[in-house]
Amino acid sequence: MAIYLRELARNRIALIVWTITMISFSVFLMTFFPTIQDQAIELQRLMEQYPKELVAAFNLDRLKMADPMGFYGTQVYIFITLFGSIYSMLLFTSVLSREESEKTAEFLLTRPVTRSNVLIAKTLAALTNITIFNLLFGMCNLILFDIYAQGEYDVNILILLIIGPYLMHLLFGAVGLLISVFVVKARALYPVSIGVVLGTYFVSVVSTLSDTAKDLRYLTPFKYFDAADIVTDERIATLSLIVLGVALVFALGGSLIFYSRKDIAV
Amino acid sequence: MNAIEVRNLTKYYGKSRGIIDVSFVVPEGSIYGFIGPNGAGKSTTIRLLLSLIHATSGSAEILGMDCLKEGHKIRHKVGYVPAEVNFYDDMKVGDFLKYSAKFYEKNGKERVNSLCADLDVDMSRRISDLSSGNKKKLAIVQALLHQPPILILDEPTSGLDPLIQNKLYDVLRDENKRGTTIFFSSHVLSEIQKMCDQVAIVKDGRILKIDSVENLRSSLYKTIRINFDNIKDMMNFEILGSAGINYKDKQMDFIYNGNMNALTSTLNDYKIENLWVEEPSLEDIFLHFYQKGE
Repeated sequence: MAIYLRELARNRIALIVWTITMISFSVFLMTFFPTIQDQAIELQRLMEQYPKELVAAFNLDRLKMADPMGFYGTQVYIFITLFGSIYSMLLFTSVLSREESEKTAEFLLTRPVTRSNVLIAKTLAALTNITIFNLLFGMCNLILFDIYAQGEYDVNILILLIIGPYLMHLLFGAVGLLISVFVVKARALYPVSIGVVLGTYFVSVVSTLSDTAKDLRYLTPFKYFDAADIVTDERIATLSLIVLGVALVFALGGSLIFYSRKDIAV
Repeated sequence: MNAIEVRNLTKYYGKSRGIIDVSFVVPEGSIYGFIGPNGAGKSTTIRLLLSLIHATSGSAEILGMDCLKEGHKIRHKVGYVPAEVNFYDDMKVGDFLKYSAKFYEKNGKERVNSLCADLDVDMSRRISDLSSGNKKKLAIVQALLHQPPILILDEPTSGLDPLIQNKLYDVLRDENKRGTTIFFSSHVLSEIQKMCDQVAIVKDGRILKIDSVENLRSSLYKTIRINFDNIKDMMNFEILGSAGINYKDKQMDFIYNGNMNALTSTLNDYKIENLWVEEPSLEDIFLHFYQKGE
């Protein structure tokens, strides 16, 4: 419990900054929504002039920007998945590596606790952070849409679109946790975290651009929680949930095994 | 029961040597010196005892418990001062000690206060602002606050000024009187000499010798200094069991661990002006071991 609380306190400022930044950004985006709705027809014409593949890459073939859920799915969704995933990666990659890179692991691991307990307490703290972040962001967007688009959309779909990114953040978190056992240098965490998120995003774009690269979609978290899929199917695909579950079990199990056998070099 | 029991402990980091076949026993209630130069494997041994790293082969037990399997139980009963102190830079000293105390059942506030007063630790300062000496003092308070029956100290006096060093010796002696076993690693021989009952000497990852501090100092080794009548005699003089020979003018000195009669009868054949037989310091013995090994 001491480790969990200490970890929460330590991550508090990052949580506040990320939450405020993301919420401000979505408030800012939302103020454009009425204008976009007014110019729906012009926008549609504009879209027709772009190459089909490019429009598809941003889901604008299946979602309409002038429609509230389409707007959320193409605008808010992209930045909350991209930036939120980076935040999640940073949180989870630093679960173990931060103590090791700052050499405080020596102190922590000479306390009368097992390494599993350390790992679990710290993972729970990261999980708490990303959950609070998504809860606040989601609540804020529920309110925003109630103000700007009341009655024009299905609340259940909006809730799914809020849960989708959260699950994606968890999937990236699972990847981050595994990385955390092996990458110790704090300097490496930012490039690795941002690289993994942008890299998999790029893969997801490529997979929609060309038919030959279509199967690449299975390699990227972005395709497992795709906004257009959620809006069209009105649910999150079972496969995605299975993949997430397997990834979480694998990451937690793997990191527990590797971490308990690891030599802590200070 | 022994406080610490290490059997044939070996650790390789990949191909590079950590320690090889290290065995020793620390009786409960003793102050046990662990001495060797930097890189000899002192810290590696200590990290194995604390299961920060995993042994390649061999085993280590503390209070009859296996260091690897029951590490968390052992660490309840162990206080540890690392050679290089790295604590949370963002915390204040007082908050850090409170955090550290949360891990233990025994965590009296008065104990912390009296230790901080003894060692002159300022609770209101931020850890990032502390000098390495002050960090070391904090590490000592942190290691003692839960009154562990075993203390593992990795070069605890490095970075401390002599005044605080002496205070630390006092604190440690008090702890020892209460029954605390102290495992004291150092490369400063005088403090081992001052503090310890027994000493294990490590070199290049192996235990060179285990002995009581008294034995090591008195019975076996003498510093012999001879003033010869002429240089030629001096250069001819040779005897088995000598090491660390120094020449200066017509005087030579060396450490001798051979038979005294052999020495006196050999000296009969030489013209000498003066002879001294002295108790060598542990430093000299230590030096002698190392020269022999090279």
